[in-house]
Amino acid sequence: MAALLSLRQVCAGYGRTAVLSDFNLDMASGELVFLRGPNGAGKSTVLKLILGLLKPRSGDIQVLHTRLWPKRPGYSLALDRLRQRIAYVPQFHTLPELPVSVAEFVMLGRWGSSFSWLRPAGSRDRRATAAALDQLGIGHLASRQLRTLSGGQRQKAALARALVRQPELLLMDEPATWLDEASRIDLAQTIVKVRQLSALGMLIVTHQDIPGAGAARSVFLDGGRLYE
Amino acid sequence: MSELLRLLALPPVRNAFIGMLAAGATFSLLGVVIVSLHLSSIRFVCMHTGLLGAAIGLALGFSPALGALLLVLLVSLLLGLRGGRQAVSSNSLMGIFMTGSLALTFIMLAAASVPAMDVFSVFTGNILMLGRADLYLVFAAGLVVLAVFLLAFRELQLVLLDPELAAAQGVPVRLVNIVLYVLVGTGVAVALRLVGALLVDAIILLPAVAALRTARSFVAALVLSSLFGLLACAGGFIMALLLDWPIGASTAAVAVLILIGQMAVSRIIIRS
Repeated sequence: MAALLSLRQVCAGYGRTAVLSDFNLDMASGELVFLRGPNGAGKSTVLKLILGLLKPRSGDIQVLHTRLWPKRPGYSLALDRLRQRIAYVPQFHTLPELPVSVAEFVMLGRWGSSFSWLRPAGSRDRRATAAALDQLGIGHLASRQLRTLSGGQRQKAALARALVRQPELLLMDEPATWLDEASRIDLAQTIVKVRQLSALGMLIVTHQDIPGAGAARSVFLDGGRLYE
Repeated sequence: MSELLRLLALPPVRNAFIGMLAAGATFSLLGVVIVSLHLSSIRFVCMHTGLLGAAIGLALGFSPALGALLLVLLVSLLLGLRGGRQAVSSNSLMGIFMTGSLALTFIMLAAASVPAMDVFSVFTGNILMLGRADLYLVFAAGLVVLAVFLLAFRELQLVLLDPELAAAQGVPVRLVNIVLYVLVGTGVAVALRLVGALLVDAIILLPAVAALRTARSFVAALVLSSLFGLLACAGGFIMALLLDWPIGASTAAVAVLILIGQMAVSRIIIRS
């Protein structure tokens, strides 16, 4: 299988604090990988490196067959194009102050891949949004305010927002952290369903298991290094 | 009514009324940014640095209003540039700018013999002294605010909802933040001239708070914010003319009434 993702001997950190040292991770197309580890181990840092939100101090990073690091001429353009093919589900911290319906929230996932500056969203985006909501079984919540949803429903809306981008790689940061047992089972079933419908690779950062999510490789990050 | 029309026909009153309407309809959009990004303290920074800017303006021999505007723009740009960085928190920077500005203002009052009353006129504003150049400044600032919201509507929505996710999608979050900080600084600096530092919230913040409590979408929040801002400015101005009250205070009173009215109506709707 062709490597979907390859991080080799990557060192990264914030200011004077080193978080990852000689970090290596490979992921094949269509693979589901759980990146586990204690708080502060650098799991979210790995996602930031893949998304180009953090520059490594050294090492090689290749994402979706595109060399991201070491930096080459045309880096910004390559990163923009790469981000169109990646979807990201961040951790939910606080609810937004802005009012937003579930449908609009999901449609915003297409920014950058379908509409952007001075190129407004169109009927194609609305159709894709409806399809993503239906795919996750939350079509009936389309007109509801995001802030009125339960934790599990919000997580599904966030996943729909990621899938509406039709990505080749899906990154999720602690998707199960704030969920109760029933919602966690529901999330696992949703992951199985998504993988049946498309062959996208999934890298899920988590500090706890998501049992029932299907065949997956689990890797453990501690002290800046990865253990299989 | 004829008395009201007679007063509105007077050039200083007419200029002031038009300026207030333009500011109310556009600067209130910035309140949505302040609430969404939790930038409440930036208003205080702008107010304090406005005072220092006025003192510098007087000491160097030009208009205190221009001095206040320039310094507020500079400081909001600096805060925007530092906004996303971790090394020194925005709150610390705001504390430094607020206390530092006041200290420097008082030092200038003593050392450069700057007339204190002229400096503190920034705190009270003087809408009826609004000249043609001031009016153009209000229009220009308002048009820039409107243009940014119209041209980068989705990008602003993405950043205000979740900056981290927006960055992951490729939105230049840092640039958007800098633009927003500078716009907020501009709005506050111009509003200082209209209603004074103590009542800036009447134009910028309160309409947005009421709008965000009512709206069910970003578009609705912006439209309602603009309408509430317009209503506060028009209502306050007319009330001030009819009752011979101060314009800034009347505008603030109407803005507060709009917010209280919104809270009462939403409570009734929830109960029913």
